[in-house]
Amino acid sequence: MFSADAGAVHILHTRTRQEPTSPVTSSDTFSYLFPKFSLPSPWQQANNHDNTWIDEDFILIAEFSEQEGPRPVMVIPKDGGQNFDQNEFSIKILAVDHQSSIVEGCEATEDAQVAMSDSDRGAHAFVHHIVLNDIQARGYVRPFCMTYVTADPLKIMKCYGEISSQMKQVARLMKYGNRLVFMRDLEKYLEDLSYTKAHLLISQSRSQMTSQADSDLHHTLNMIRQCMEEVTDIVTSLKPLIQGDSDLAERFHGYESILGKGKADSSTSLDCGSLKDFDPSLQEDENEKSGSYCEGAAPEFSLYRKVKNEKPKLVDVSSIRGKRRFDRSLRGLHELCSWGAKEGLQRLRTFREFLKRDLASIYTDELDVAALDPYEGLLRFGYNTVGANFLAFQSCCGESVCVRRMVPDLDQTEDTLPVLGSLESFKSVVTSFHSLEEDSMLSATSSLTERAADIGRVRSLTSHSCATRNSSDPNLAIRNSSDPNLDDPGFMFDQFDQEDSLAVDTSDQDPSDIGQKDKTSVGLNSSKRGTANDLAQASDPEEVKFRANSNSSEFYSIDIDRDLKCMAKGCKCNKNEVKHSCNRKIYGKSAVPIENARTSYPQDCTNGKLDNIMCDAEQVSKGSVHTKQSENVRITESNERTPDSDFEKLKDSCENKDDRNDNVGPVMWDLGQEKHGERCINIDYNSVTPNVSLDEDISNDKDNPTEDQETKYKTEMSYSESESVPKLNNLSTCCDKVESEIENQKTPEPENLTHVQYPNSSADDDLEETLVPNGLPSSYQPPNIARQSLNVARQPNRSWKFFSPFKRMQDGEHSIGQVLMRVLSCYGNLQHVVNSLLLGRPVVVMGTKKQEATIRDILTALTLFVPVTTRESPVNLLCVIRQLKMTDVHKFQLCGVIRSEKHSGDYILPQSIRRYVTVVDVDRCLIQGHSYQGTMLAFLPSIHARKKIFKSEHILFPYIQLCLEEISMKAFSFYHCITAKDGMQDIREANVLKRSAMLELSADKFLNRAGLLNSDCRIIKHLAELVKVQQIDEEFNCKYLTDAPAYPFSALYQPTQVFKL
Amino acid sequence: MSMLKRLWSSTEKNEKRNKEDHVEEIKEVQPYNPFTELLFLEHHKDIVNLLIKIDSKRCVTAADDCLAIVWDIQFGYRLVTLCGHSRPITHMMQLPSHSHTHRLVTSSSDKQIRIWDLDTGDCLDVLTEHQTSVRCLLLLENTKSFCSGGENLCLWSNKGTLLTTWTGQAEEEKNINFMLQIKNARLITASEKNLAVFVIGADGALSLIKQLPPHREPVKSLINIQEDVFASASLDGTIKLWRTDSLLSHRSFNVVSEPEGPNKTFPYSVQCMMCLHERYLCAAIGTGFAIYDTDIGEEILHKTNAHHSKINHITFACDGLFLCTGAVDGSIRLWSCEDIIRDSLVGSRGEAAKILHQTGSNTSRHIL
Repeated sequence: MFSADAGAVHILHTRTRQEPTSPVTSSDTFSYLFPKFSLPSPWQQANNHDNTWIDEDFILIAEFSEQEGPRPVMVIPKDGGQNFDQNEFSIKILAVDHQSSIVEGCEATEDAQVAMSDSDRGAHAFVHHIVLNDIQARGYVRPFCMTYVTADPLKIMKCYGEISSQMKQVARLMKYGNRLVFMRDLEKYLEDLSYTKAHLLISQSRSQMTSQADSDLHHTLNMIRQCMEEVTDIVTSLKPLIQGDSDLAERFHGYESILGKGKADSSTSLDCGSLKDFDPSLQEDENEKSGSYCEGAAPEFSLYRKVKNEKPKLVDVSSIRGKRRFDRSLRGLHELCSWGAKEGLQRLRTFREFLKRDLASIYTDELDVAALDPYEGLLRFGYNTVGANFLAFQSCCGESVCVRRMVPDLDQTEDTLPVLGSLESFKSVVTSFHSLEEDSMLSATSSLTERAADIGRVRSLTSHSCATRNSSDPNLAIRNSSDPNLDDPGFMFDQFDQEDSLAVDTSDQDPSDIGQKDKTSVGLNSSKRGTANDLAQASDPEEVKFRANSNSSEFYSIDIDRDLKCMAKGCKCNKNEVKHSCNRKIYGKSAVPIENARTSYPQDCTNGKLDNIMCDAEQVSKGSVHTKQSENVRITESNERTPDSDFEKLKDSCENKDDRNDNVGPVMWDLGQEKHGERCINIDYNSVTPNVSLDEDISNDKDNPTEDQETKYKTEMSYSESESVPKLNNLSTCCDKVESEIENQKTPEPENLTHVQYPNSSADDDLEETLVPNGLPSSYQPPNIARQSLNVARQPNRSWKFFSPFKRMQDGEHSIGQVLMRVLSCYGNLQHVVNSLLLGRPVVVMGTKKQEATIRDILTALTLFVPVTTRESPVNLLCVIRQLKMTDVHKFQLCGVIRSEKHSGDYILPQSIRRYVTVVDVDRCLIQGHSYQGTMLAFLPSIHARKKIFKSEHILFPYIQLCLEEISMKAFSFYHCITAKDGMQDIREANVLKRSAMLELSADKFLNRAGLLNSDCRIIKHLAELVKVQQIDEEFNCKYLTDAPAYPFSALYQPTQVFKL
Repeated sequence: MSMLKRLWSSTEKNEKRNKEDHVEEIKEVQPYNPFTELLFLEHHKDIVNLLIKIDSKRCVTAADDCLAIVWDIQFGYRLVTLCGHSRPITHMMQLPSHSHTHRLVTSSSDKQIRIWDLDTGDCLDVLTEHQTSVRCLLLLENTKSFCSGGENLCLWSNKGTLLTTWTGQAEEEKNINFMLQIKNARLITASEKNLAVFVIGADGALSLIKQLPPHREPVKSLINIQEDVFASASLDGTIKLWRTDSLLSHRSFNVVSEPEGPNKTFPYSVQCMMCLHERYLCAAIGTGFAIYDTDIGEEILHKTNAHHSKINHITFACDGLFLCTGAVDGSIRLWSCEDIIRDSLVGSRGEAAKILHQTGSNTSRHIL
């Protein structure tokens, strides 16, 4: 009976769905039993709204044209929203007046973001309004808006933060590009005006004029003068905006130089068809770069190759004021924004690809990704920069936790995505400017040939490729573009693995690569420099590897949105790979900085010689053995991490390693399929137990003390000021990002920063930007291979976010890198402050309201050094009226205090509190805290002393990260030697006092052997302690439902000193 | 006053018995301070008044927010919250454990007495028969009963049944703040200035047997010294020693002629007393502290101006290595007792060490 009913219901239901208008047959006896509603299909939400207009999400860029009014400019994808009345929708979304806040003068209009729903059409949109500047436009402004249109009513609100931050990113790119162009136009106009003025004056002096004409001339001149003043005014107000963003400047500049180089090499490359339009004069004029604005080097914004000595032309005076005509058709988006448009649109495109999917699948992906994070035993520093993974127990490293799952259609979409970044494609845009044809500029078919051109360029650029490398290059290139082998899943994996490791590799070795270009060596600590010979020997084989890698770096650095791709790859790696990279960090930690540091290569290391060495694996391993036995391990490691280098060499050196160090655990080699002559080497570091590092240390102790090697790291650090730096830098940061993203994507508490708003703060938006990571601009991260993890349910309380907050590292006018650079170069003695942070001693940055900006900067910079604890918000900014109490002090690790003028600093921070905190008094430029005596933080004063070398955040940032990693590495080995040691079992029976004494003794012994000095010891101990606390936390989360344990506040009763800030 | 809200301050070492007025300060360097890690236990929303140690890993605190919280003091997290009282908790007391359960009795000014299971946080019983605001509790040794004092004096069985009630007639008997059990099943109660002696009959009845000569000011502390000696101290600073057999005061310390001081601040008032080795009496007197030998009636040591404000609590820390004082000024100071007592007990160092050793094991280490 019941089943029959159900069957009837089913039939009825399908009928209802087919004929929604026809009523349920009344003749049916059981009609009253049937549901009166139709079951909603979970997968066709859009259809439930009777939405036939929007098949798929799309991004609409619309403009309020001064001639036509609101009009759609561009749709992403090209055929998106075809059934949708874009014109009408444009009118709707552009019906805002967000520019009215400007009262007078030239002022950059703030962007506005609106989320709106059009219930008639079932469209839900997120609108981001930006105002671009155009010299030809009325009032020099052209309002645009970017709209994400979807039929899913939930998507906009669920993903609000993400869409918003993405839009901000795109707007930033566009506005920057636009400002460059606008600036160039203005300067040109200024030139024209002064030329016109001069022309008028000359013509007047030549001919005697009547009084009428004279007054006319006077009037005209006056007008010109006013106009020039106005333009100068705009220029001066615009200039700081452009100059503020050195990150983008550098990036654009990088594209320019690549373009230039590609141009230069095009004659030798295989395919230069798409480049032949270029004027050969371009390369002669190095200054003609449009990517950046700097006074000296590139005074012109010559993206479109304005002829340098172009004559200024006469300006029609009548058009200057009042009688300007606005009937000309205005420029397209690409013309307006140059590189910004290209990069911005590409970002939008990628972003849409990610977000167009069903909300549920986005959510599921996010959960999957969240399940991957092994945050237990992870030592992190500010902004979730990973220091070291302290995974201590076997259970954590279990292999079979994660099952790979592959969603073929998703992967296909990913790969049919236009491959970004070939400069030729930009060129084509430059020439065509078909805004609406934008999407066709990167066709999958053409990318193959473009890649070939890339290879050719890479080859000629680097000009030191070895034979093996070259042979593998084309395959790599082909595989990176859309290729015929897509349908081979195994192949896909290989590629991801390989790309991932590539990305990781380049990040580590970039600085060295930089150093290689320019052989300026900077002795950071020349007193500890080892013998030159030793170094040279040690560096030879490494250099070979760097060369090999530099090929790949160059190759990849051509990608414009490298970070996006890295993100994509980062997501693709499965749990295994995550661990791989985590452990690589642990295991290779000591190796990485050392390798990077030894970059003062002998001048006579010519490429030919390198090639020889490169090809001779035997020689390599001999060389490494020759230098040091322990070195051997490291060198082989770096070999391992060079996936595209010669496998034979790797194998040799690996065997070497195994021979020499018997105590090193077995290294598993997972050879990728050697299709297309490509060798993908996937090293499973998990099989190498953490004990290896201990053994290594012990063996080091026997032969040559560890500190020798560690300090050598500091002795040599080379940085280049050559042109290739920016490209590489870009890469290195984004790869760094990938690494940390893999590990930190889903930190349990992403809100490490809390923020108390200053009541009268004017720069609210700014402030938000600086301190709240939630709204951080971030980048596209499509988790294309959904991962299936068994422990999803274990982390139910994690908030899900699409993108990692870590993105912030790269972008934004107040990006951490830039702030860091400012702070480190402006203030000395910061090592004492950082020492406090690493010791867990709270740091208070105090000043009055006037110094708010400075306090913010210092906070932002110092946050990088705050070891991340899972328990509390370590950084905040307070506006304080009352006295700070002891109960306040333990709640933060780094705190900015803005005191009111009424109360002195001594009142806000009484003497009893000052005992326990380090005070950075911005007002009096003093630091009060413990003095740091050690070597680990010596990099801070050295950065301060060598501001000129650390010109760019892209050099500085990885460097600091490396230094932090070095520190965490030491903490890591300390932790495993002392805290988690099996030997502890011997004294487990002893009483507490004896145990603590024993522990203390062995800790001291270890630290002595490791050559750590007084202050360094404490740092290491504290960091190891942090990891212990994390483990206690973790155990708690599993077992109890009570509060988390309180975080111990350590009080050091040591004399404080006062330093100058 | 609150233990939790006290701030950690300084160790002072090699204390000299100087009579200077200024309070000594120690700068940042504190080589003798063994406490390098502090745990801040935060959940109370009002002033924390009471703190009892349950075992080596747990303690329970009560605050004016009507809550009592059991803490793990090893890691510093909240185990259970005991909520139920509607007025601040006035006194807490742990019942002797049987069958591995830990029970806590709390009294409150909401006229209730509650019995809690410390492990689960369940309220086992609510006793309402006291009928007036309860001010103090006392566990009676050797009998399975406890007393509650306030305007009434009630005797309860350990299970929570009311055995007997005694209600005072005179006004001065009606405000019992402190209670003390002395030998022969007798009780000393202190209400304001008055001390009274009760006897618990074999049938469980309470009867008043004697009123002791009153103090000049309200009694602030009442402790046992030896089996036959107890001490009471009052706001005016006077410490009286009483014999339990004769119920007479045979000795008094710190008798001040003008106890009120400027603005009735009572600068010599005794806030807290502690007995060492059934012989030495350690008392917090005003902003300083003193140690008396009750056998010979001598003042061994008197440290005035140990703190900036009145000392609230006094205890031993680190196995008796340090005398620990906490004051209203928010600081806790550690005093090197060994030196103090060696200085004072000239030639009897061995005895001093013995004292310290024995007391050390009985004192608790408070984690802030």
